[in-house]
Amino acid sequence: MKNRALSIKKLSVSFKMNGQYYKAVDNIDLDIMENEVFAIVGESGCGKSATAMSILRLHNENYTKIEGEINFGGKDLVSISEHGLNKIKGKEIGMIFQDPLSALNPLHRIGKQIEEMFVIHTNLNSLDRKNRALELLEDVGIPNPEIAYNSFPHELSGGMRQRIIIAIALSLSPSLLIADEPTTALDVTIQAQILDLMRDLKEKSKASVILITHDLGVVAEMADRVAVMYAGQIVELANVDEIFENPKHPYTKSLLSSIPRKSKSTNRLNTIFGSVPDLMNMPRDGCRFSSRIPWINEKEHEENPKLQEIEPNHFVRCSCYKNFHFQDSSIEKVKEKE
Amino acid sequence: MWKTTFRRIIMLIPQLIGVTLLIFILAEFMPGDAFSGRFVEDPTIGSEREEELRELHGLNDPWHIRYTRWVGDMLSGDFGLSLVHRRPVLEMVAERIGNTLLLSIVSIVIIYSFALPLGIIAGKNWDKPSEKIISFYNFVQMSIPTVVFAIVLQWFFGIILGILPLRGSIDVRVVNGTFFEIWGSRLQHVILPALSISLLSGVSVIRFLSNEINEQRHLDYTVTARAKGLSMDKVYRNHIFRNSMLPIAATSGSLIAGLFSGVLIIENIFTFQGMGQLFFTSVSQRDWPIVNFLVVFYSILTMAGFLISDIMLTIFDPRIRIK
Repeated sequence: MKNRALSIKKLSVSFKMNGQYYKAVDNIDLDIMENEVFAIVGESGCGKSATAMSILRLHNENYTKIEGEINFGGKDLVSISEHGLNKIKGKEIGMIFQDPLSALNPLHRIGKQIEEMFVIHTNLNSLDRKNRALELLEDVGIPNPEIAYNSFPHELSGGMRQRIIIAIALSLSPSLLIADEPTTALDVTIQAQILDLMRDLKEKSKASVILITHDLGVVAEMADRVAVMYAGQIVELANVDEIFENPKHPYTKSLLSSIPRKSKSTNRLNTIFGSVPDLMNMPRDGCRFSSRIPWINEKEHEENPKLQEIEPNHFVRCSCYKNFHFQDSSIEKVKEKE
Repeated sequence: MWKTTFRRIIMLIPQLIGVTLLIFILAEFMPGDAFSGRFVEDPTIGSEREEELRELHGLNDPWHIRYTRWVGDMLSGDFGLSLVHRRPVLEMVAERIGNTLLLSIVSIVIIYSFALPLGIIAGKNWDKPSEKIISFYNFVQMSIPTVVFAIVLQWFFGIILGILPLRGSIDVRVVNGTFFEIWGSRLQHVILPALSISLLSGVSVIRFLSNEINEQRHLDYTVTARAKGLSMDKVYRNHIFRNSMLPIAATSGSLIAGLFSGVLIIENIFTFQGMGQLFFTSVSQRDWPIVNFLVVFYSILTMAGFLISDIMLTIFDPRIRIK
């Protein structure tokens, strides 16, 4: 049995809107094992980024309430002091962000932004800092480290900037890496390069990775285990093969059926009815997904659905998965043919 | 950076031509000239003599010849004589420019030394009591006209407390005194006018800076900086403040330019012996050589203000440098 790198217990994250707190992440439990890539998927607004950001408490503190426990290296990141958390940030937990342009300070040279990590967490002198920064730039596949070192962010392409972000995140060899939609803002060819790079670096560093994405292709490429989130809850949790080959929850099935496929037997792409309810109007009881599959009988849903282990290491929330069918029956048929 | 600056300076030339043309045309539209109505009370000079004088001074020449003559004279350093005082314009301006410069510099120093800290405090404590208080102060300060505010300052410091002089730029009794006496008196006289200008102009600086800091605080790069393990204090110091200075640098030009127009009014309220007061009396006496010179001078200062803010922007922001 592998050890846990990070253990999230009963985590809730609430945001203050119009003077009231609303839970964007509702009571989730997660264990991230050592050296695994753990993916969290879901549509925008389902709470996946809110979960990731709460690990390092990066939300605006004035408008956010975090409850529960996040255990990392024997410490609870929810209750640890600001000072204690700052020692973990960057050094033991690295973070990769979605938009590589806005995630870098436009007024500082790349070299300075990488070296800042060493300034904060080490006692390296300026020469060593520079050498380490150049090494890192080379590690992440920057062709001319010396030039990039002296460049400003706007002088580099999106892909290059994302490599810089990765270099910063990996600069102190953290044992956990949180990648919040690392490829969303990049075009497809660059996405593949960045994913390759992340996989290589992950193999080398033996770090655990929490990968936040809405791109199931990325999940298939990278992940070992997957949690599917909807409306602030985990609705399905399983190994990556299980998720793709034997999806159970209606939401997971719907997401998978919404991916364009090469097969010509279908003309129309499945879409999921409706949209994720916004935070202030989110249903708080019953199966939260029920409003998006209105053709399924009320009785199929549990009154108070809990995540249940239906097969070894395969967790699903709510009994509605048992008799779920798509509204448009042609989708089922296509799937059967495949 | 030098390239950007150089290009920016080259661009001043057409601006200068435009400004002088505009001033010339405006003066042209004004009824009368230097001789009209001048000799009404002197029966020895008839309208024929008046016309002769016009011819002699070239006032009847076509406008483009007079324009090029005016600009040419200015370029060769000849700014003409004051019509009222019969003294060189340059000499009269030179007597006053020191006072105005002192007033402007003191005002700029006051503006930035109180507005930057207040802006930072308000920006850091957005939505908290300290920001509300500063915003309220801004609101009050903004609603008071300069003239009223200046008079209130005069009344409070000059009459109630009696610690600062009400008007003038120096105490006549110390004009021949020692260096320290002269400068002590000058500084004493400059405080009230400088305060009336700078407290008002500082409002926009506070507003810009606090808004910008509050905005920058939520940008992604700030989150990156926090994720690196920087304490919030250091995130402010190493990242947010410098980035928030961009709009301050960008607006410094118009602030400085606005300062000069503020000085015009304030100098009159305090009968402060500066260029603004000279400008006002010259306009009322139709002393066009002085008025024209001062308008050109202020235009150049305004352009210089914008030039300085542009140069400051290129220093702060690498994105607008030309390679």
